[in-house]
Amino acid sequence: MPTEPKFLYKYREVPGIDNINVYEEHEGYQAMRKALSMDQEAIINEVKIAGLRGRGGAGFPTFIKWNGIPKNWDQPHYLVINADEGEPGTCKDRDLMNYLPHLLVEGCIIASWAIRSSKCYIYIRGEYVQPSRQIQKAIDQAYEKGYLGKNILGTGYDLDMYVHLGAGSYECGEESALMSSLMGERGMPRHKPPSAPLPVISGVWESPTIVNNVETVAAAVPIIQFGGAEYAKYGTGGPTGPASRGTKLVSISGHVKKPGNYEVVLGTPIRELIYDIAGGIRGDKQLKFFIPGGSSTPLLTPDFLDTPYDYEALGKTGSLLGSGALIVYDETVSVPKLMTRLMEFYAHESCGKCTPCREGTNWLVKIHQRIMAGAGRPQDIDLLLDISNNIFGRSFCALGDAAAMPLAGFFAGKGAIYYFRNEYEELVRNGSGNKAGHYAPLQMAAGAPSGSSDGRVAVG
Amino acid sequence: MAETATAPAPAEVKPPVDLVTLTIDGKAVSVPKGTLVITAAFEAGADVPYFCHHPRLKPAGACRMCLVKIEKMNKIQTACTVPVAEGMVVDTVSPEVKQAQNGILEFLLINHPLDCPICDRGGECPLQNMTFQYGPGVTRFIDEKRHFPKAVPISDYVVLDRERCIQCARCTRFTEEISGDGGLAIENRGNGSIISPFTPDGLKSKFSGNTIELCPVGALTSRTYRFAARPWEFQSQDSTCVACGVGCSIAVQTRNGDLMRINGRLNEDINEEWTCDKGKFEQYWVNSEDRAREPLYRMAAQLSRVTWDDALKIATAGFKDAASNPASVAGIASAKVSNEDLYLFQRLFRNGLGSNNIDHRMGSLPTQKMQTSIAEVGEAKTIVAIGTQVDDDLPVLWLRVYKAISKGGAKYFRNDDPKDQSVTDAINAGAGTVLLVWHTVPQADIDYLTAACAASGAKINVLLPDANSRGAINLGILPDQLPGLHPVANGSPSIYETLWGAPVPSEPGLDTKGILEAAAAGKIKALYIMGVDLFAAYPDRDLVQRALDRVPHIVVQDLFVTETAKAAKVFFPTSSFIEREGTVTNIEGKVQTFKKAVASKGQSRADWQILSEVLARLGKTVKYSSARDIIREIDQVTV
Repeated sequence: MPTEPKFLYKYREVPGIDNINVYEEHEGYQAMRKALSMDQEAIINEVKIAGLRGRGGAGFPTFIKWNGIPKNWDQPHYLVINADEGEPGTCKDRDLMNYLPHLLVEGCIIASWAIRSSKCYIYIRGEYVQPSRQIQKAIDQAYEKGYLGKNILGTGYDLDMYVHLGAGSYECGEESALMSSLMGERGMPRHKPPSAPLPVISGVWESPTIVNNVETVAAAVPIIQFGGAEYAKYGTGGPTGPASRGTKLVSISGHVKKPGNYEVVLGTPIRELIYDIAGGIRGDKQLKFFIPGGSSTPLLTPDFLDTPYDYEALGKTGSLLGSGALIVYDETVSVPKLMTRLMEFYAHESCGKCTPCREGTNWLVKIHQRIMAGAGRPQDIDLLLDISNNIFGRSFCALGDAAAMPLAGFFAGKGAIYYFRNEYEELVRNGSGNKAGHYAPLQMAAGAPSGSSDGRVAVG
Repeated sequence: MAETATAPAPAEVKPPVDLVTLTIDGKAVSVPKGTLVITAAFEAGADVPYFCHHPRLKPAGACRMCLVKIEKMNKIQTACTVPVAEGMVVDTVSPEVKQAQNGILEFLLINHPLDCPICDRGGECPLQNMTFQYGPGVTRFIDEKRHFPKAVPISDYVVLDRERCIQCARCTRFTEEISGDGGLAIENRGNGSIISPFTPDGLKSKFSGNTIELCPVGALTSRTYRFAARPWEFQSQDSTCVACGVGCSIAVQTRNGDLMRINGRLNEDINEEWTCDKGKFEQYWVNSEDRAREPLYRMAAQLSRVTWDDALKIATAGFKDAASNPASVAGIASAKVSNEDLYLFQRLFRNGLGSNNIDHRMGSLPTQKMQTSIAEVGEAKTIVAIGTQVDDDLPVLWLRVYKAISKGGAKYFRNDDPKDQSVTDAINAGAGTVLLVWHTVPQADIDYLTAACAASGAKINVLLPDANSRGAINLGILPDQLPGLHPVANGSPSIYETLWGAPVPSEPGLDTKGILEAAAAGKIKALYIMGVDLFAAYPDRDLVQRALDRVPHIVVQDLFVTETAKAAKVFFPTSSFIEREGTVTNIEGKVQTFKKAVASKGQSRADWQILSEVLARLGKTVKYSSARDIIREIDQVTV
């Protein structure tokens, strides 16, 4: 059940599927041909029927975004693909680009045609060297066949596609910072409505721009090929009201027997994802907690195993579906140690523009390092919550929110500290407090691989 | 005497402005569409704290200090980035907002060093002030603050303390948006962000001083003012800069009789609120030990100190003797002294000595007025500089040029060939084109350009260099013109008989070159030099040397004992622009006042005071007890 249907991964195991000839032997570029014979409005309508939502993390209905392009076709429009995939735990786009590059290229052609863009930029994070080579190779093959370039298949449609490499910034996965980086500026985020127009009105080079995640655009291929109604047959919710239709690529990692990227129907219970698809906890240990959608989403305890994996149900738990990165942790993991690592990530990736994120993440790291080294004070735990709440909703972009949510949770206020306060308290109790004044900078606590969970480090 | 470049405009019919009404803290305000919420809040009397916001810079939304609650938006918003909307309801004082303000300040302070006791900004520091009003009184941060190098010189004038910086980016945005050189940028990211010069050899900007005034903390400090004083210790005097012809409004800040620093002052017509580095940092010569403090007289080939009375007696006697033949007296004045000084200088010669042998020009000098105001340059669509590097010659004028470029999309280029096709094309574009032509461009070319502009509707601004170049022309420091641009050859207006008791000579005199050549030929017996070092300013050093060697009676008055002064028989020390009051006329014809901030150095006196004494000793009636008395008389003759 969880292995059917396959919209994206149908031909994943076919050897040489990254080659255009093999791809075309397996229904490749048929959706593109169909799309090029369709009206733009009809394509967007199929996407609407399919109920496709942004697969990068925000879950925004794709058809609304595509419809937002102003209909004055004399100015240039741009399609920008967000292949930055920075969210810790997420590697679905990497594998899609490595193994099924033509799926992305074909999806880009369909999407570009739908918004009447003649230029498509694929922004790939700089660390993804191999995927970027695969994509460039696929683009070159598509040009050779006349699927890119001037007058594609005689339709009069011109489309050029470019690969642009990032340079090591998580923030450049944020839509507006990505656009800045693409234009050669510092990867700093830009004003959002109401302070500035949406990217569909004014994005890169002040032109209407659509920024979509890799998976979202790849999904356009099966949606056009089989029709939106077929895609929408699967999933949860709707037809009126919020719905999670279709399939989602999920990166399952952590303490599971079979980590990997899987295509699942939205609404599959998380228990099934962990114990069936991923084979259960490795070493047959106990599940302690899991992070459902990438490190920015609040963790959930085993009480939530029966939650369906979709946008609405996860939202109700106080967490988020996010980018679809399910990270599983067993009983050997120290929550404060994990949070230390996460806070270090956000502090390192903060762009530095706004005060709460730049200073707040730095403070969260310093307190965590002090607690891990044994010099934590009782009031530090509530201080961590207070700092997180002072960041949340106050920062310039969502990175601040992402840094605040692991500890303090989302709207329900249930994050790591809510569920595992006792672990922090134990570290504070068993540490030397602030008395000695001297403590070692954080190293990964000695003995972690063999399972010590209190993270004590010798002081002095 | 207020001569402006443009004729008085007809009563302006302004286009109707779209107004938006919104409610702030329960009070309704109507503001033009496009106004930011923070600006509307100030108009409504609300107090919204901010750091990165600046009315002349594009909104940043970086510091998050100005967060306010706007109804129907679920997150609190930065007031400095959101434009007003009809019916918007804004709350700047709710508990949520107050808690947010407290939280942001706490964040800003955790890594900010506790440098207040030694920080220049202490006492005039927005971070201090905001913390008192909105911030926590006690810190919860017990960890180690992040460290950076302190006291990093980033330019000739500016020192950067990276630990104090709160990354508001006002300085980097200034260099991008106002001065245009992009000289400062943010390096690295996150908590490691630092301000850095964009090039390895430091910040090369003519406007770096403004970043010091913009910086809301003591991160950017002045090398000339560092650790020098506390802001509550000094007196601040509103004044006008006399370093160049723009005439920016400045605040002269002094302590114990010495200049501490010069800050910019608001003047929307001229410098908005900016300064240039020349005007801001290079005026400390007023404090110099080398300032001339006593009158000097040449006895036995040496200049020795004498009393004012003796010096004046000897100086006057020499001129009185020589004036029996008026063709043998001459005077050369600087264009950097005040209108009052210049007026009395020409009265000394025309009334006291009966001669028109006076000039101020060190080369040919066109006299035509600017056709636009300084502010209007900022509205042009095409700006062409001919013969001038604007940011060197009249720096703050360059800020207007860059304003036209950055805010109006104007085109700018420099080409010293007036007949080049690009220049012709620009002129032919008609209204919206402004030429900036330096005074050294030959008159024939200026005439050609003026005619071409008149035909197409473009405007030409001939630019004069010094603080009072325009004043020197208007007041007739010329051999052939009286004050008010009245030609000498047209005869003596009756007002001079009334005021001075005698008509003015109607035969034109010698210009600077003529004076120096006549002097070198032995025909000048008495020469008065006011405020100018001829060796430095006049292109032909050899002629100057030969001239000064032949004149038996030379009187020099200046701020320092210059090379020219060393050739004098009598030397009078003069007071600087911060030691007295006076007016200067800037390049667009605006008359502005500089004011006295400290006592005169040593025994120095204002130039006009010295001239007034000489006139009285020559037997003329003088009624001047203040600079303003002279202005009143100038108004009478130039009406």
